[in-house]
Amino acid sequence: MPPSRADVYHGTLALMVLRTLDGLGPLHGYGIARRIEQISDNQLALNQGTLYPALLKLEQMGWITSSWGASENNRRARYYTISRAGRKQLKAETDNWARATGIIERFLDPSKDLA
Amino acid sequence: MTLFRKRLDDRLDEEMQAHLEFAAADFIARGMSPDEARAAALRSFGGVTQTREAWRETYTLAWLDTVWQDLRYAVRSYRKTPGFTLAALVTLTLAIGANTAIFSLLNALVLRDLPVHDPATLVQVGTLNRSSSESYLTLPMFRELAARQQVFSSLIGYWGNSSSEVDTGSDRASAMIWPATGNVFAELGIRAAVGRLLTPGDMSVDPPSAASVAVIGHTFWERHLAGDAAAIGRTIRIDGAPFTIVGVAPAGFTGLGLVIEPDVTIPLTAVPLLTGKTISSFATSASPGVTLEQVRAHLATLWPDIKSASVPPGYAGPRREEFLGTRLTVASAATGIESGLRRQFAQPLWIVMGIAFLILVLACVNLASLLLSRGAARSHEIGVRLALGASRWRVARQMLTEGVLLAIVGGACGVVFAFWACRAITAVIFEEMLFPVAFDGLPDARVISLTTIVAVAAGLLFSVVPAWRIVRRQSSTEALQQNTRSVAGTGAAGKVLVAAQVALSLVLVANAGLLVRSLALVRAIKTGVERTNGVIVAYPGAARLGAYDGIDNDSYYQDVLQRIGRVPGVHGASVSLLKPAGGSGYKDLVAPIAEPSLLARGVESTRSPVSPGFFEAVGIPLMQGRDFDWSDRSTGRRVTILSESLARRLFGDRPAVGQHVRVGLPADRQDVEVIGVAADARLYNVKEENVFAAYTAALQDPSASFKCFVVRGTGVSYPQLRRAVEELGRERVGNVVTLRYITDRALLQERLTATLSGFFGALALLLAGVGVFGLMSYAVAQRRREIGIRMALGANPRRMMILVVRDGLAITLAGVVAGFVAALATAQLVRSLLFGVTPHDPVTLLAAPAFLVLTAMVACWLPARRAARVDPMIALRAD
Repeated sequence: MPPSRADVYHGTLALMVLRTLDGLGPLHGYGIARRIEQISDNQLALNQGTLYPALLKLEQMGWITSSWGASENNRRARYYTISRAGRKQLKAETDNWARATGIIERFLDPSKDLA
Repeated sequence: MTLFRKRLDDRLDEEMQAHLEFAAADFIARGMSPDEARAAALRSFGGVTQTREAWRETYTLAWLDTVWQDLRYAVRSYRKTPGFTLAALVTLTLAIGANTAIFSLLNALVLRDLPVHDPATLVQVGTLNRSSSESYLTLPMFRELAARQQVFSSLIGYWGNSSSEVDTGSDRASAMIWPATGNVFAELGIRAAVGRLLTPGDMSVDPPSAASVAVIGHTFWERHLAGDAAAIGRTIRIDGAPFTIVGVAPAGFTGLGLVIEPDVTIPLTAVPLLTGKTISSFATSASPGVTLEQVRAHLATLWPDIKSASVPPGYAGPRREEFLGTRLTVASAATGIESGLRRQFAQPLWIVMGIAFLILVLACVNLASLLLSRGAARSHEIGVRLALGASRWRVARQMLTEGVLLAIVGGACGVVFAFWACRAITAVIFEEMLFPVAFDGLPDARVISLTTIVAVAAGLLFSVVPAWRIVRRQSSTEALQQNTRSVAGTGAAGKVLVAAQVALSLVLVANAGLLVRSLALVRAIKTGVERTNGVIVAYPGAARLGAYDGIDNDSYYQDVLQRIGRVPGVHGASVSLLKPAGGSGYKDLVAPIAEPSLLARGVESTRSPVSPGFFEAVGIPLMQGRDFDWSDRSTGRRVTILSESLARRLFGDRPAVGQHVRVGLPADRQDVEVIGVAADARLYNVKEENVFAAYTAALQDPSASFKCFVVRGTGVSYPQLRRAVEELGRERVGNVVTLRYITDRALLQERLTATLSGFFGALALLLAGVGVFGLMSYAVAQRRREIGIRMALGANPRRMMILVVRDGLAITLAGVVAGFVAALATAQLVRSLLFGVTPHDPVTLLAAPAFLVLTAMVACWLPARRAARVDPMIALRAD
């Protein structure tokens, strides 16, 4: 039995998308999904379909933009690009995330006794 | 929104398609068969339906969210400028309200289908006699038509509503009786509110017979029978004749017309049961499965046979010829049969509709120009929003949202205003009616939805120019730099918009000028009759059907006038067989018997049968001879009194009294003695220039079916006047009004159009003034620095004022020139409503532009004064 795959935590998908686009430049939806799966070593149980509403939401927030383009094999596909506001958001979210995980880590550290 | 939604849905479909293809290609590359790969791709994608739902939810929420944001922002920005907001709302309320009100009336009067089953298949069949006056089919014609026609599914016959006294057992009331064929309700698809309606089995046309059954109107049922279902089966008496109530018609049922809700509907052939007489007039409608043209063609082939088969017995010679000359008219009755009302009001309403529409366009242009200045004044705020990352489209949408919000609020107020205006106009139109008017001219759901669409369109229209300029022009840096100095201005667009306002305004003012002047001219006409409240006209009708039977007018007129004469305050009473200011009278050729040359031609004159005392009562002086007296009775020698112009035309300077003339064709008027000459008067139609009139003795005119009492007096009690007539038992008096009221009433069309167009003209002038004022104030505010510098360098404040006024006037004049051309063209459209002025009336065409230029000068003067008062030190220090 394969190890159980982790669920995508609420709100983290957006962060992953922004990070992916920030690192790799314009990508289509399938590219983003594959990339997220690769980075997580296939440990994330990502229903790829859920990506699209998330992308639309990010676009509405003004953090990414999208336009039609042609894929490697010349299939028309929608390409997503991170915007300036998106980078700012990514930066802010990354800091937040780091702070939050730092705190949680300290809580969960078995070497410390909270009592 | 739908288009937007569809585009987003299509986008998702295409993206999912691409996604699955990419995924499948990957799986194939990893060694799967194509089928396996496709399945694997779908598996890893997850639920397609869920994705689609989540997608839709995302965009819907976002849309609502931004709309809500925009709206809140719009409300906040309007609250910051309450003066502008209030002015804009008032403008929109009046403009949209006027359009809604007039359109609602037009819709109800002309456009809306009757609320019956399949109204499009209703056809009205009527007749035109030789002098082209409209009439109905006679009963024999109706019968012949029913027997021969092959295009109608059925024929409905009915008679006009008439007033009778109905005794319900518990109370007595005067009620509108509507006799109709038994099939009418079934054909119109009307269902009973209670009980049953008339059925074809209740009557037969050939041979005439009818059951004594009645269907009562909903209002009547509620008012006189307490809305009680037990009323079914009760007996009511209509002028004494018993009828059994079989059912109640649905609320608001107005038959084939729009105005009267019949109180009691009885079988058509039951009418003879009331009076012992046959009814001769019919209007018919029917439901064909064919086009109106086919109906016309079919009936045209039958018409000659129908006529010759229905010539009334006893008609011979010229009378028979005249009968056979009757023409058939076939018209659609989908919108109901209400031709009289339409003839009087449809055209004026259309013209006022056009005027109201122009006002709406003007209001839009006005608001566009004000919003443009406002947008320019807000360029700093907009620059900040752009710099903070708002997209241009988002900011432009904000402007559009603001515009639509304003228009919708204005539209909502407009609908409220329209309800009030519709009630007011309807009340004026039906002022004279003696029975409850069921005409519903209030805005219905369709009118209100149309208003909503118009309001939204207007909102988009007047905010699209400012929004477009933002999308096109403004970069955030540019806007921020402009800050407070700069001359962003409203640019050429602002000037064009203001010139357009002036042009539109001129069109409205010029048309209003024509209509108002036309009314003034009509009013100024010397009619030769006193327009005082001292002359009272009372309209009697038969006290009940058959009340005139066997009446002897020779004694009755004298009786009734003596009784009226004894009412306190009455100085004189008379009878006229024509209604004063009633439009036209009888027309006859009058010729002197002694002059063969004139005898052949004759002079077309109004023939007006009046009783003794008439001239004194209306205040027309007798110039020669004597008035009629009671010896000029039906059996007496035929006599006439000529109008002064007619007497001079016929007899020159010779004395007319004692001469003999013939008046028209009837045998008994071939030798009529002139006994007097009366002053000229425009008594029947104030616009009629032909003042040739031959008054004949009322008692010598048995054919007339109408009469009215013309009474002179002061402080006469109308109830006493009524009682004086009604006590004789023959007649019931309907309306009692003053002659002044009637003559004003006859000008209702003119008054309505002149008042409404005058109101809109004034509003247009005001809007144009506000437009010029707004533009120039803004320009002065923008150029404060420049003006300050120039003043600091020694420019004269007067010169600054002139500069501003000159700029404003240049724009105004451009608008005046354009508007003048448009006004010339549109004036042709109101031509038919004009009296005494041509569409190119020089007074109006000079005065209207002068008014506008004057308004513009006042509008420029205020900002100009502000320019002259700019303190250079303050202006320059402001940054």
